[in-house]
Amino acid sequence: MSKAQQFKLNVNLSDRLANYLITQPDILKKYSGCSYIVFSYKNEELNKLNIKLIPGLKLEGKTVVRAQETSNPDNPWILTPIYN
Amino acid sequence: MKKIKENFKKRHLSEIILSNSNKIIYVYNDDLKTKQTEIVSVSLNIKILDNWVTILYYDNHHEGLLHRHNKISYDNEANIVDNEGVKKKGDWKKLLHWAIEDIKNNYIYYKKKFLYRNRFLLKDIKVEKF
Repeated sequence: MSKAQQFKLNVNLSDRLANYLITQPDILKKYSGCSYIVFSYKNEELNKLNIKLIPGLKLEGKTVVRAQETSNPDNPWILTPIYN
Repeated sequence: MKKIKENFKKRHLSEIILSNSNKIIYVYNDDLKTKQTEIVSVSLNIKILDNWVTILYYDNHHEGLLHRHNKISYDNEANIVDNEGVKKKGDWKKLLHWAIEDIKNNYIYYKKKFLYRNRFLLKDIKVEKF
């Protein structure tokens, strides 16, 4: 996969999460001010890159929420706060 | 350019005006002890009402990878973080330059996505599209 393809995929994945969360005010309120990291259900290569961001964000003192994409259109994301 | 001495860090802050309603603010710190520089943030700020709102920023805090934060909602500070498509190699000057150029080249695209996503929240607020 080329870098351009990866960028497009990741932007699309981030956009999909943003577009989903904007329709879920209760979730946004629950995790107010958090940083979400996206994980694809099919792209391990992308997930390996994104997982590297977590320690730095924790060091910044941010609350990080893992956003795992699913293949289920009725429940497209599983959101899990990372506490340690 | 302002220089603020803060403990052992010297902070540099600058603005690049893109238009009346869009600007880049970039901040970096020189650590006087370690002689290292970190990018605090390179942000895209858009004017909504009379306020400047940061809708996207890059940083590489704690010697980490340069990464992008995208603000999700107009009324919440939560953001989505990713680093794909973001320059990873190079010294801080190259990364800073890359982040500034990325926002200069793509700010209308980033703004358009943010405004579209927040169209219901911003329906009664006039925001410049460009």
